[in-house]
Amino acid sequence: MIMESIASFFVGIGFRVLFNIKGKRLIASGIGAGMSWFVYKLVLQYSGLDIMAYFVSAICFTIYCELYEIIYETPSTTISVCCLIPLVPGYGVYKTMYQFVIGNNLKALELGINTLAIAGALALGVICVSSIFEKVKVQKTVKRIVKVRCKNSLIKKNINLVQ
Amino acid sequence: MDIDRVLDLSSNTGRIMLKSGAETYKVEETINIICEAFNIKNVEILATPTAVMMSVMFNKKIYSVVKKINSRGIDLNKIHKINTFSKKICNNELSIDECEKELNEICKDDKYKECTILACAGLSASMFTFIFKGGATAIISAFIIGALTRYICDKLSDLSINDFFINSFGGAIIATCSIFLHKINAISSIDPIIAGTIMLLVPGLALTNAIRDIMQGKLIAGLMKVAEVLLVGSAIAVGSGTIIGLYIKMGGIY
Repeated sequence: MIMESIASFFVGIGFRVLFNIKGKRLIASGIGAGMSWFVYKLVLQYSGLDIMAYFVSAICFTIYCELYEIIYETPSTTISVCCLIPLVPGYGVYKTMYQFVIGNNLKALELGINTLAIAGALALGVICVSSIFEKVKVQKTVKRIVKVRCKNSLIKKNINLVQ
Repeated sequence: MDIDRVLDLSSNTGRIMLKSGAETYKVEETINIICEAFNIKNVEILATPTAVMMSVMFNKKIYSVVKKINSRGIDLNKIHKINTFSKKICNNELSIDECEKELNEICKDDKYKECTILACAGLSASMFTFIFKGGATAIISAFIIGALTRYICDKLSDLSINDFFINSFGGAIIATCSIFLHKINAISSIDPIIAGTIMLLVPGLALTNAIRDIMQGKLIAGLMKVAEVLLVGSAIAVGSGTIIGLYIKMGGIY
């Protein structure tokens, strides 16, 4: 499970370049991708519910992305794309259409419904969190907390420098 | 206040955003911000993946703009730049001349070097193969197949060939390579390698974004995207299905 998370860390970095995102925060997107896969696997192992695992993972990485947006002031799409990539049901879309092409309609329907459910669960998780963060009050509180943290760390650094 | 120039500027901004794969609600928001910064209020905007339409009542006359979008890709760097651009406009830092200049600056492509892109395509393909439980040889060959597929698809899209054909050709390349590897006994099963490399072509991200659009009430944009996803998915399946079907017909064992 941890090896797979490390693999999806590299997937996140790779797709960051493919989607042409500039900037030095390469590691942040990799960590997001690794985290989303890790949470998915963890929930899957303990609950055994596939769709639920996708939903919980979507909630976790969206919180991470929104915090990233507030701290670095760049649209959260630029990182949520990288976090979403390991979970996205691309292979499901392919398998569904493949079964249709070879004429296996019943199997195709089953796979298609599963794929749609995964995409729906991911989208629902993303919307749940991002609609909360859209509210101005929440944003202000989070900003205040983050700023206090930054100030504290700056003060600590200064103290260290003085010493 | 020259309303024609403001409408042209804001609709061009929206067009660039949609061309680089922004969500439709973000586009409507940005256009609204730009218009309000130049004192044009109550603008009605409809953004869909294929067109931006806007119309406004100003000095008792109705002005409207329609911009069509022919090609769509993903270029998040441009979206990031436009985000900072609209923030600057919102703080009234720029005059309209400066805005037009800056937008021209944003329009220019600045991509990574080609070898970096190919290496990253290979890296992601091989890591996906690992996630789908491929062996060591499968991971290494996925790196090569991923880079090759990306290279050929890029070259084909430079020739501006139909999207459907490009995707089915990519699927065919992937299927051919993995069947060849299976034939010379380099890999035990072709499933993980196909699953890993196909992720480079398949629009899973677009499907998730489409559902998200539908849930937020942007029904037209969402349904358009779902149609595009199904079309691209079936293109890839047709490409790889043809090759695998021929292989089985000729007596190969899948």
